[in-house]
Amino acid sequence: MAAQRKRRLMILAATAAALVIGPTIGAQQRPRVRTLTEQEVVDLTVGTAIQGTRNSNTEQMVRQAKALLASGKSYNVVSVDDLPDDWTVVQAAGGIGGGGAWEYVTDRIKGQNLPTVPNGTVAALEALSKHLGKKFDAVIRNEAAGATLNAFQVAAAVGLPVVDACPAGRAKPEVQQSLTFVNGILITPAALVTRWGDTIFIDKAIDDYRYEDLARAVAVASGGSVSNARGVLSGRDIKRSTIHGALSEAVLFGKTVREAAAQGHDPIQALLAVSHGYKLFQGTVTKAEQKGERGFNWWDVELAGTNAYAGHTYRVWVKNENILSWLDGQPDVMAPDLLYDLDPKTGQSIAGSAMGGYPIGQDVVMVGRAALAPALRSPKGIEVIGPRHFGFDFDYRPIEDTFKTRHKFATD
Amino acid sequence: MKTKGILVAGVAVFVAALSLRAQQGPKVRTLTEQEVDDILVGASIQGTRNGNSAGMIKTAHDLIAAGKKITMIDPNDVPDDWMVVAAAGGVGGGGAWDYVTDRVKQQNLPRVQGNTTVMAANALSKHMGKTFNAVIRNEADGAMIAAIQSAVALGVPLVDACLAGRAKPELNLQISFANGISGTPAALVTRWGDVIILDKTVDDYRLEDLSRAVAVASGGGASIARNPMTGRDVKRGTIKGAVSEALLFGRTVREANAQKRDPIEALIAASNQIGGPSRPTYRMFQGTVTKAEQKGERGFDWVDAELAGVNQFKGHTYRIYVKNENIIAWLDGKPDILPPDLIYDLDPKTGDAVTGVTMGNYPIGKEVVIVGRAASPMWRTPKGLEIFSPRHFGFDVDYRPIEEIHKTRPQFGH
Repeated sequence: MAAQRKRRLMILAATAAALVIGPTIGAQQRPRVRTLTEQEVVDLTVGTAIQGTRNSNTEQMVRQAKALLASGKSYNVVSVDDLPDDWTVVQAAGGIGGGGAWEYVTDRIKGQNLPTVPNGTVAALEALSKHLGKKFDAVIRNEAAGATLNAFQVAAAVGLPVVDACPAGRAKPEVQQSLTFVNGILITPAALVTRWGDTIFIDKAIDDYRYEDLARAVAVASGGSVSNARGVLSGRDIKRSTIHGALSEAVLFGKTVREAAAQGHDPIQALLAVSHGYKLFQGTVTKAEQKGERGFNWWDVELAGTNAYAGHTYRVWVKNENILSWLDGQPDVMAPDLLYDLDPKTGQSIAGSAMGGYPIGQDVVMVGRAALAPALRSPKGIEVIGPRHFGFDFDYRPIEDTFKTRHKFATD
Repeated sequence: MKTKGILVAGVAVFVAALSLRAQQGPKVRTLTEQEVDDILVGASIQGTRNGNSAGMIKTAHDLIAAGKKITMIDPNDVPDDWMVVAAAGGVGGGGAWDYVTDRVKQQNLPRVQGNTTVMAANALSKHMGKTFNAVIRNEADGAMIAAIQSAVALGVPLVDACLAGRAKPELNLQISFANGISGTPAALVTRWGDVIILDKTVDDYRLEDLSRAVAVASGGGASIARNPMTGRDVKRGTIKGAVSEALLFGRTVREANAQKRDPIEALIAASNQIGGPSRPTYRMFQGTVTKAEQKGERGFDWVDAELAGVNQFKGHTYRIYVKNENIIAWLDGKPDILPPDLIYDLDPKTGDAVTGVTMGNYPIGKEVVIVGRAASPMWRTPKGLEIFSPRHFGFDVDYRPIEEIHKTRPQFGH
């Protein structure tokens, strides 16, 4: 009895000691930073385009990624497990953008012959660092697709690693659609830099919706996009409010479709296996109507089924990214669950067309996935990215529930 | 030995003079309630659009009743190293994004308590690490009372000057910009308390674009503190005496009304007296509003107004193009007043700006006098005319000074 008690006390003491020593070591030692190989960089780029839940110019991103490596820079990654709690990490990746820019601004500036400035996101990161009087220890991407490439470009420019995590795990049209906001962490203060070099600080937005409004307005008034650095997070914040391993997942996706295609296997089937995804539909794009407004690209897309799906129709509603889909008029997959539009031959995101678009006549496979974090399916998560947020008058239904009752296809 | 003594004495005198100056401070005078009332009526006349002087006067009386002193300093007395800020009113207008106001209503987001313009001034002060010594109005009309409120809240005087000498639809339409003085850094505070710092914009056009965008995304308006400038810049890059001019205009129409004289005639006479022969003021038209079509877009209120002439102007038609403010006027289809010259739409009975409509609008059926006035010489420089020209507003017409047009237009008599 006494011996057991003594042993338990010793374990407690050892644990306490580890807790005390642990953070000290973490703060003093630089965490392990891993440099990706060129193949990993290519796979990461292909994979993050898949994660993007929209079309992508993957080829161009791969070219840009290789150019970065060729310039002597490297892709340095730090895992969440190795991340010190007291590190200060910034989301400096990708811009706020989209359609409906004020023409009178672009017209006037053309007349003025105003020069553009390069590396807006790096400038935004540096401005925010100066404004806050804080040095950043690492960069984290805010979403998938182009933001991943941009996170590494920025990190390489300022000599920082990128954290293997993501607050969204996908691309998404609006700023507040992020696990950080769902977990009560505000995106401001933030710095924005326009293509002409205007520098703006949003010191305080009441909530991330307001940051979204304000940053989007700046983009609309600045030729249709603006670079930003925002959402300063501690290592501790990242541990509790991001999707861990988001970059590793991208590498896995890219590697999976590459190897499958090389071995003459179906890349979609291979991707479904590693992503626990659902094949939703396959068809030809028959309609893709676009409008640009208030900083977004909105698309209404229809696919006519092919192969096992012949005779069926699929509809996708896009706000920059795929948000909702209908099978033969019935709601099928809805955000926060994921909708990938992929090329059946390569397993990669479909190419061509403006952001969010689908090229008419293109053969597309739709793949669905359950939301990546339980918090995204919480009331708050559904509030920020569920169907009602986008103006649809129906409740969110998880993809696995829908799949129990939807039409069965031969490929299921 | 002797030289050393003189040197010591000299230094002593210099130090004494310095401390005397520091003790006395610059000349600041407290305005009387009557002066404040007159300034506010005059500022609404200067506004080149409809106004609401009664509302502004009520706000000022509340301040005075609360024991606040409204003080003013002559721009020539502002020390060169003072920091002056245009913390007066907001950026606003039509065409606010509906989805924002709808969502915010649903969220039940509370409005921030307190004066958002003062909050913006404090945010700017903090960002710059500098204290503001005085407030300057950026334009006429509502910015006048807003400047008074800010000055009182910050406990500093108002400078007797203006960045524009009128109201005007865009932030870039200011004399400071024409003189190379930047409008940034600037701070904006929204009705919900969001704080935005425009740290650096390429030019004042971009300050305009970005501030307007914030307003459109924030329910149609945002408060702003901008144009932080030194006393030296105030002296070279503003229209001096603009508040005194407002005081003169307000007093003139008040006294004319009290003495049952025509306030418009009195106003024109007073304006001509201070303007001199090179800066004339004319009664350009009098008529009834027959058309006033309004639309709100990209943060502005656009109005297309038409008047049917009365009295000596009977049978003639006047048209005014409004972008928040009166910009261009046509008499019987011919350009009659062109920017930057001034178009005042006044009530013939009171001499004050027309009241009772939304920004820039004209009340249908109302009789209105159009008074035209040559712009300040500061606007008639090459850079001023480039910034504030008919072409800037998309009209393919060259600027012609009002005094030239007046020579060749039909003569109507008084």
